[in-house]
Amino acid sequence: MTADYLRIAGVTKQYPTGGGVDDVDLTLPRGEMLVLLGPSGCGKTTLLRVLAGLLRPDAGRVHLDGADLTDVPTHRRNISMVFQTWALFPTMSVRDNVAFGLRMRRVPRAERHRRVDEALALVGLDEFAGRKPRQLSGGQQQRVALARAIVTRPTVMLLDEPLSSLDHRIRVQLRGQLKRLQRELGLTGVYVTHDHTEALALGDRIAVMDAGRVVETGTPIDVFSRPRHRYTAEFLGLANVIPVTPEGRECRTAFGDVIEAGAPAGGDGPVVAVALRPDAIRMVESADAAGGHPGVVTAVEFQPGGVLHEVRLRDGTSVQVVAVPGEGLPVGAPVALSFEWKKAVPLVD
Amino acid sequence: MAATVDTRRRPRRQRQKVSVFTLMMTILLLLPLVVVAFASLNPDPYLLFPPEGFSLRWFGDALAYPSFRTSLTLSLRIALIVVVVGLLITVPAAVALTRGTGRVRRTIQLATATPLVTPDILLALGLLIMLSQLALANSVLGLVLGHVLVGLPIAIQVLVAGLAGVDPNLEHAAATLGASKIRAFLTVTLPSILPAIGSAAVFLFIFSFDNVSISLFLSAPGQTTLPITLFQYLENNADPTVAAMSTILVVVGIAAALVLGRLGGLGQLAGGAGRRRR
Repeated sequence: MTADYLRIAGVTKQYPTGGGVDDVDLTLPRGEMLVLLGPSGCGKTTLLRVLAGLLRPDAGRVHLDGADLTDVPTHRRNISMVFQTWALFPTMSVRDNVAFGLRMRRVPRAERHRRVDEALALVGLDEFAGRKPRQLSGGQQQRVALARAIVTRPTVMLLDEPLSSLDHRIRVQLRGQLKRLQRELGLTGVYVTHDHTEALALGDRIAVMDAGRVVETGTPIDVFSRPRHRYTAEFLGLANVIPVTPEGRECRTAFGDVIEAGAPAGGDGPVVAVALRPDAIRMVESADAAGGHPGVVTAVEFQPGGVLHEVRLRDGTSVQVVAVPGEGLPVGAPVALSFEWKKAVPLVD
Repeated sequence: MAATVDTRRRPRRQRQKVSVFTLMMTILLLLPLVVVAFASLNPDPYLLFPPEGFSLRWFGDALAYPSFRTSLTLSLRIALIVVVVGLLITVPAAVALTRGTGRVRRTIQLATATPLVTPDILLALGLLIMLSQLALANSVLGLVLGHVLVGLPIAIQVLVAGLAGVDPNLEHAAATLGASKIRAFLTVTLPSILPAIGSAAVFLFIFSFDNVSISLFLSAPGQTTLPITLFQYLENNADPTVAAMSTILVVVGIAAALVLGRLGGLGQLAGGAGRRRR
């Protein structure tokens, strides 16, 4: 299984109004879920639509399981897609919606019936088969869309921000269900989202995108705890991104500390910044700034993992610091910060 | 019952304002029809309002009058053909208008709006000249063509509004599930716009059935549509038969309006443009 199941090679699609994707290369083994993560307008949906065949790329090829898919029309690709707006057929019952793909494939009635029942049971909607989509809640409708997408046993399942129009609790619940289904059925999937918690929860691989290009790919652990690019760290927003300037084999941070920061593996360019998680900064209340960098607390936010403080330093930059609950400080408190630079992750542009 | 539910839903003052306005407009528009309806009940052989008695004899006369009967049949036949031909033109045109790219869209939009801004008489005259040269002037074809042209813009507008309410992702979803473009349209989009198609059909029917200007030019002698026959009858006679026939037409018209209301066609016509591209 070393051969890549899905291979996107040099895909380019430009719009006259801007946007689109530019020379994207990606690969995905069978049975894995690739998450395209990026802000709106970064081209992730364009790329997904190229995979679906709903858009023709200006250049580049899409290969699936060894076959060139680029010129195959959408309806012959044996894929399925889940849309942000669900796109359930409003005139059909839930059962007919799910059965649609099987009917198009001329699956005999008895087998069709059995497989639809199976798919509806998988998403826990067997009791709702006779209803019309508009009689269901948002979460239920999305589960119908999911059942409709898996019932045909597609070669690739494409998901375009399928959870973003649902409220938080349903979203988390459906996310788990989706991951379980994908694992159990061994589905290969491409999932588009701008939400990094979704990417972390669902992806076997994550491709971070910016302005039509893939900035960085890797496993969720790679991308989240050891990002290699400044853009990735900034977009994820989980760590402080602190600019550094190289000084010989070491680096000088914006706060004047000299640290060791070798260029990340791959070595594409000089280190321009480091990422430092908010829990790698120690903060003590101190009026005279003894033993650290002086600053003032400007905002406090309570989070499940601790109390997040925003601290403004003398030079005007702000960093985020997490304190354990109970050790929080009020807004306006003078503090001294010390950085655990050993935990810093070097970043390139 | 319905009124109390309504007042609870929106502010009372606004609702009252709307209903007074609606009432006035309705009265204003319906007054001539009421006059005609009452005049048809007059027992004596002249048109009078208010009637001096009550009699339904003119209704019997109207339906028994041979020339009215043949005209009514002709009008109905033409209207039905207009509905079929009109839908065959307007449904694809509306699809092109909503799904097409900029250029196609503008061209079709302009082409289908033309009958709306040209005087019907000119249209009729042009058709008459053209059809006489083709030796088709005395056929039903001319009437059908003319009526289709007159009803076209409204039918398109209704269909475009209906199509605009259909999520384009529905067809994309159908495509990803294995449906070709045509199949996706037939199985997914078409059922969703059936009410709009119904509305467009009713509009095409009414526009054909009520048309005077086109029919005036293109009706062959002895083969006139009902409005023309009524007009000709009125030139020589002044008894309430015409009023009775007109009342029958009004009732048919109101029935059609009720059907339209059910299908949502009137709303699509009024608010259609604003609802495109949600």
